[in-house]
Amino acid sequence: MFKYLALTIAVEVPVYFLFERKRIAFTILILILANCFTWPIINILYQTTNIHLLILESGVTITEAIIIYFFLEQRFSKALLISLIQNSITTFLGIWINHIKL
Amino acid sequence: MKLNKLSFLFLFLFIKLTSSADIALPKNQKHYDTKYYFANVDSFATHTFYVKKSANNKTYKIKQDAAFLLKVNGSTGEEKLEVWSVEKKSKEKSNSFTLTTQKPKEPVSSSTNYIAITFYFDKSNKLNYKQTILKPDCYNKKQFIPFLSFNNTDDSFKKLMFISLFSMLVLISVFISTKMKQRTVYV
Repeated sequence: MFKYLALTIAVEVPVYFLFERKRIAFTILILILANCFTWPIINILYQTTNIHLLILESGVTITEAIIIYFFLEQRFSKALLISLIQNSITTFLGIWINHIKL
Repeated sequence: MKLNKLSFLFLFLFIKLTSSADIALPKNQKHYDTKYYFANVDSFATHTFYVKKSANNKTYKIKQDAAFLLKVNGSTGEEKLEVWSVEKKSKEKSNSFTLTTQKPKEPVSSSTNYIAITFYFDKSNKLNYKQTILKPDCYNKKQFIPFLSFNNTDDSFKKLMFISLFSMLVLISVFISTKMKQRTVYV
């Protein structure tokens, strides 16, 4: 189960560094924590409720954008763009790997 | 630019190698305990209905509105019900059918499915049935309808909640310590 969390982090961290390469260790720490915070919640909600995956992913995108905005000090629009790209990649990767029907 | 290419290559290789991924896990497709209600037994005055539970190998006569719970993890494994009828006059036994536990049915509100069975005889006089998913009581208009309802309290979910809460606490701590440092610098 946790391999999916590891894979999510492994995909999202390099994507962030395509936009910004400052304070690398701190950035990695924040992105790992952000994913460790959002990934379990989305999976619990996805498994136990009937909320559509894309709605859940939208919530995750906004939450991670807020974390990037506050902790990594990006403009909110840039934080939202980074988070949107990160989560779009991982969402569709997840749909492809797990054959999830939307 | 070179670094960008390298990171793309690393990303691609990693995905290919692990190939199995805010990557959602596939939906849980395991069966739930299922409770069957027999809704129209009294409509067949000429027949008596029977059910055999695999859990204890006992045969029961079905009465109107009788209910049988099938457990996924019963003492003998996944439980089943064999159902048939006997015509009262001729004592002729009909064909039988088997009811088993089922995957979660909408609306998901607990870890048990509630299903009503309605018998009927088809043109060739074979015993058949229709099933209707029953809505749990909480869906009554008079009662409170939760916005979210959880149906799984597995240990793995507790672990996930723990990881999420722990990460949130660490994030808050990092945020507070960063703000404290900034304040010290200004002072």
